[in-house]
Amino acid sequence: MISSDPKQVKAICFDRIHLEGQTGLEVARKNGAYKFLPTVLKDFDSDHIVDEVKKSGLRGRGGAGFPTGLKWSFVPRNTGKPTYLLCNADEGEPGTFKDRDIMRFDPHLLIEGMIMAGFALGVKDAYIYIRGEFLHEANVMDAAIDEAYAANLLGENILGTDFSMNLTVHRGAGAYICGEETALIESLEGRPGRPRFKPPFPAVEGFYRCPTVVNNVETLATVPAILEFGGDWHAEIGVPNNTGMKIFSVSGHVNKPGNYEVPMGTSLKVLIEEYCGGLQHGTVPKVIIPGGSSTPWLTAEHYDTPLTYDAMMKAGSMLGSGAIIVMDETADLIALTRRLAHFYAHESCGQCTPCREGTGWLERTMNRVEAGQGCKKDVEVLNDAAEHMAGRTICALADGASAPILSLLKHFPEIVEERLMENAE
Amino acid sequence: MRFIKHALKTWLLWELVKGLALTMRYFFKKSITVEYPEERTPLSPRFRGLHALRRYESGEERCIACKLCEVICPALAIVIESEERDDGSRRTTRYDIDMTKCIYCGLCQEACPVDAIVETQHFEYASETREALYYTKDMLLEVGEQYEAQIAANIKADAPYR
Amino acid sequence: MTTLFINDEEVTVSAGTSILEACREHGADVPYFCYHPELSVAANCRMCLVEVEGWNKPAASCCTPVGEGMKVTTHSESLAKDREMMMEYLLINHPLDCPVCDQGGSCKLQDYTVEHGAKHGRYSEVKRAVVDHDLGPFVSTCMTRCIHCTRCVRFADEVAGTGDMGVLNRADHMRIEGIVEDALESELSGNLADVCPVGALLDKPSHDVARPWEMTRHKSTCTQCPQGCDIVIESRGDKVIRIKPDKDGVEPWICDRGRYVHDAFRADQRIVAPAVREKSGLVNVSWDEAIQASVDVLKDKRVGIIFSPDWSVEGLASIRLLHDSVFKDAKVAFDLHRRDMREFAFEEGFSMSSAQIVAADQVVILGSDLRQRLPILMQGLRKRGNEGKPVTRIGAMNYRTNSDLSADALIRPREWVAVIARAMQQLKDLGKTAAGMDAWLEKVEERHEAGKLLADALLADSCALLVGEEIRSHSDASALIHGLDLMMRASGHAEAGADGRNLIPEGMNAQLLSAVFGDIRVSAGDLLDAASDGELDALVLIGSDPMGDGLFSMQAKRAMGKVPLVQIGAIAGQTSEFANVMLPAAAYSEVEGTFINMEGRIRMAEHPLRSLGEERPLWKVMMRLVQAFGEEIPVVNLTELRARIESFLPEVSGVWDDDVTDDECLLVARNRDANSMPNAIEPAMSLDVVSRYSMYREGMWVRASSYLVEAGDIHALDDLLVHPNTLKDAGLSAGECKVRTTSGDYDYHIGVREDVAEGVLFISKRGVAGDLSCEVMASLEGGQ
Repeated sequence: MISSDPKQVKAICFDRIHLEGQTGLEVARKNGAYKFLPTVLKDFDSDHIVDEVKKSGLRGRGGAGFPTGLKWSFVPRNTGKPTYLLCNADEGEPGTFKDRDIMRFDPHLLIEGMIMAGFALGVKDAYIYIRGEFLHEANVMDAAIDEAYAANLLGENILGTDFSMNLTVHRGAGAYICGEETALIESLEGRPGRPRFKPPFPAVEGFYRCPTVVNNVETLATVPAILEFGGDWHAEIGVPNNTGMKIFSVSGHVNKPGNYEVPMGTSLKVLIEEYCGGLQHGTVPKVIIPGGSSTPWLTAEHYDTPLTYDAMMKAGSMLGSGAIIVMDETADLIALTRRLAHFYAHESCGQCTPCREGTGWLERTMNRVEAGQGCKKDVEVLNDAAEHMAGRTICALADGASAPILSLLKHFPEIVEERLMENAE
Repeated sequence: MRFIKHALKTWLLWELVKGLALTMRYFFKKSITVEYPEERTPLSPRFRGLHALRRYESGEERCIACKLCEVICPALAIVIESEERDDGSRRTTRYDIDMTKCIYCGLCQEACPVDAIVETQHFEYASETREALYYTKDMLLEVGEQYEAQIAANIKADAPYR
Repeated sequence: MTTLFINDEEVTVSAGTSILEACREHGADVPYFCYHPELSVAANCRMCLVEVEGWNKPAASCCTPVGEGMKVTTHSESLAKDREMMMEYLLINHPLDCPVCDQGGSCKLQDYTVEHGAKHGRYSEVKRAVVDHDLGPFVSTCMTRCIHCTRCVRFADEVAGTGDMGVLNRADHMRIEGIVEDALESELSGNLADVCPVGALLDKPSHDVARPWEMTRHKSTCTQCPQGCDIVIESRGDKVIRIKPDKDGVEPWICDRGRYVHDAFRADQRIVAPAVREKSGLVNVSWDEAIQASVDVLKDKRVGIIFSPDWSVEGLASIRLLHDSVFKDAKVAFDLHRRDMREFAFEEGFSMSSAQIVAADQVVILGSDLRQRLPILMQGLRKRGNEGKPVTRIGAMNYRTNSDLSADALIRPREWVAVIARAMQQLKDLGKTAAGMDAWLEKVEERHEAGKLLADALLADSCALLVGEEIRSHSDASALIHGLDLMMRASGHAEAGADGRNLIPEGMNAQLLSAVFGDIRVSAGDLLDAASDGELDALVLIGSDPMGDGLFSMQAKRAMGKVPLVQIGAIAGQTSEFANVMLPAAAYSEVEGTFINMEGRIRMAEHPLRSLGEERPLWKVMMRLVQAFGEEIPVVNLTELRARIESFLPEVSGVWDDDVTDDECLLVARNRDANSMPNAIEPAMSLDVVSRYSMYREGMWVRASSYLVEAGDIHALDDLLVHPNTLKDAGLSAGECKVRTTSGDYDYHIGVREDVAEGVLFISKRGVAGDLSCEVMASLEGGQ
């Protein structure tokens, strides 16, 4: 059970995740799912919900950290067009594996969150765009949605109110870029997943050119608790401007990798040493990638950084989706960077020049550098090519592709230099 | 004194002696005249003589009808017509150089991206009719075939300086 | 309006403009590849980056709307580096084959490399190579050169409406491909080569032939359809290499018909010297001999003259001068498609400009295959359709438009009168009437529901009526047009400034033709019949080919050989077999002349191409003939001729005085007292014959162009088509059938197609059964 005392809260999204049989509606209801939903549908109105979410300080858990309440308030009303709610469950960022656990073990939490969000935004049709590889999760979600329909939690006149909403699971086809909200919209419309340029933003012209809200699974799963205990309650968890709990997917050279839901503001060091059982080798990590593979790297000097959007930004990186990849002395950073360069070269949608051509160029150059066939000029090429991709494209994939390369060259020029020397010999 | 010096020079035919001495000096000095056509001076690899169109070793003509030589020619001496050959490659159907217009500036050679049009060291192609100086593609290719060894050697010799 | 600063200069543009457009408007140079003013924004080349003060990263100017007080910098050190890098990214996979690429010399990539690129590339890995595709007779591809700007894809989607280009794969495996192999399904496909900023899509007919710097440009007017697009003829010496739309012209695109007709300019079919028929055949002779031979053939004879409307205004006027001086009693015809010679309430020509039509509240296409007839206007309507504005069509076939129509009805020609009556009834019931409407309505008993679509459209504030060939060549055309005119008056679309009455003409210069020849013209079919029946002694064909074009090919074939023929023109065609004398007249590309398009827009051709042989401008040929007949020459030079034209057509006065032509359009002739009433005739046969126009086959020039002939073969449908139900009703099946007409019975292969109206026999005008075009009705019976 989630404690109503913000100081005592141990988990929000993962509160019921360990309970046996939680994927079934009956058990889930017994454990408290949909408990507060009738109150929301009957006693709350749209503005109130948006206000509560605004008050809660909840920021998008998908990566960008945009305040959710603000996003919802941007949706124009009375346009004559339908409003769509899309749940971004295309968890493709290397290192991230939090959303799948919510969907796998507590699908009704997400459904409840989507019903509440849909109610707040006046949505008739909502979709969960789930990553193609998440077959099991998609099946679990589908089964849960079927049960919810049968229990009148979805469909026409939900729980006897005027509110009707359909919820559909759509499986992606395995493109990383479809985790970008406009590419997700394109893909959902049946076209190749290629991001759209903004403005217009999806809130105004999104799915089928109608107002659309795209939220991450974790974000939506937090909504029921916020509405039940109030925005102020949520705002007191964590630290100011970075409120609530956050799930961190810790992987790499730690003794106990896995998902950990901790209050925002917990420091990296505490997370790794207290929750994850410390490092496998040594006492300080060599590299920490704090928010999934597309965020810039942190080194030992930032080991104490609190896990907040703002502090990470200050440290020169991003909290991203909370996928913390820890590497100790044993890691081959050049091999890592080369592998990531390959990933981004493979996943670029091909629209924008710098990303289409640049990611391939970086990959091929990194291949050579890794094989010890690089030359001095390659360092300059890597630097130039990566630097001029970032921020020059429609979406942020190019930023993500350049981050590992720029981080490697910034923090560990000597490692690269050494590899080049091999070639000289 | 001056008068005596002058009189002596006059009566001893000093100017004549001086002149004859020069004559005799050159008479016995090694001759520098080249007796063309029996003898020839060496030519620079950059010498700009008669034009030639070259072929690759496979026998394929080099020229790709890009027309850069035509457009750069300051004397408008080159006329090219082109079309797509059956195998899809771009080739000339006509490549004429009017040698009466040509000023042998070598810009065509400089402009050529594939070293197809070159100026050879051959310069003895004077003719009695103007018509014989209107070189067609076939004539230019023939020149190329005749002098290929020399052309290749010249290009190689000049390569380090380019 | 929004005020912003571009490079510290204050400029004001309309709100919502993109930064790039604002820069273009105000002369600030911003490089771009994917942006095209006529296409939607893709924002994928990232070449147009600019800096905006206060923004932490450069903005793509093509997709960033201007903001109040925005401070934009288009040139800075960091932007220069960005552009250098953008060029480097683009060039890593672009082949270094500029010398063999036709685009070389007019290539954006080449220009920007020189302007913005680095001195050396640093890429040393393997380059990408892409397989080419066959996109038909007009577009050649070299996809390795592609820079993925997707202009072609957007062109195919938005302008051509065919969507037959697409993007496959992602990252640097991304490829642009034709979705269908072989030919592109578009009549505008030639524009793809213009749209492509690099050498990936090129003009196939001129492939590997010429370089952009060799071309001489001749501004001219296309006469291949009444649209009369502004074109630039690019020639290398005297050889025409290609035709392109004029950048300063009204329309940004031209159709394949107008573009690839240039093959005919140097075709074997051109008449390049005067010729006279002797026993051995046509023999080239001097002008004097040929003129004398013409006089011998025509002197004191009953003469019929058929001419083409595509000559320049000067040429056409001189035909009238010849008529008035020498052949005062001659019969004259120029429209090979008109059966009903009674006055039309509104004559051929448009009262609206294309832009006004595209902007009108409602557009109704009545009986026209507009995509074939006026591809450029259709493109405008497609753009309108993309914006969600309505287009209504009523006609005998579901002609492909490659765009969505808001309302569509299939009717057969005999139902037109009922359609109009139904619409008129609706207007009358709403209290909208015009004098004469009741009388018209009384004549018709039937009502056809398709009329509702027409009436609904007429009720809008502005309505453009596009009356097509199905009505114009109807045997009761005058009555139908009178009915339409009444409705337009009743619903207020006939007033000056809001006039929506547009009758699609057969060819150019419609305004001049009705003003100059309105009083003497006869039906071409009647004229040819008169020649067959011995009522005429000689025929003069001036650039017209009644055997190959129009509805009356059967009559023409019958008449040819019966009477001596003098052929004057630029293309020989099949009538030349019968010509006793041939006089060469210079083509439209080879004269300094004036042309009037369907909207009444006046255009002057300047700087013409040199003629091939001994051709003379038509007006000179005409004056020479007048002289040879011993009459006084009416005009001796172009100035006098033009002064004479001003007396026929006062509206054109002043056109030739100054160098500037304004865009004011000539008005179409109106016959206010036209009052033809519909005839109630019991149809004698079960099927209506409709002949189908093909832009690749109709017209002497087109048939002389090998490119268009090839395209015509690719795009051809079955020569005779009916709806499957029509066959079922007659108890027949597709295949060999007997077609019974008033002129006789014929055996033909009949094809079926769902999108033909029931009860209609559709005939390809230039197909095997083209001669049936003159029929109005027919019936089908089982074959053999």
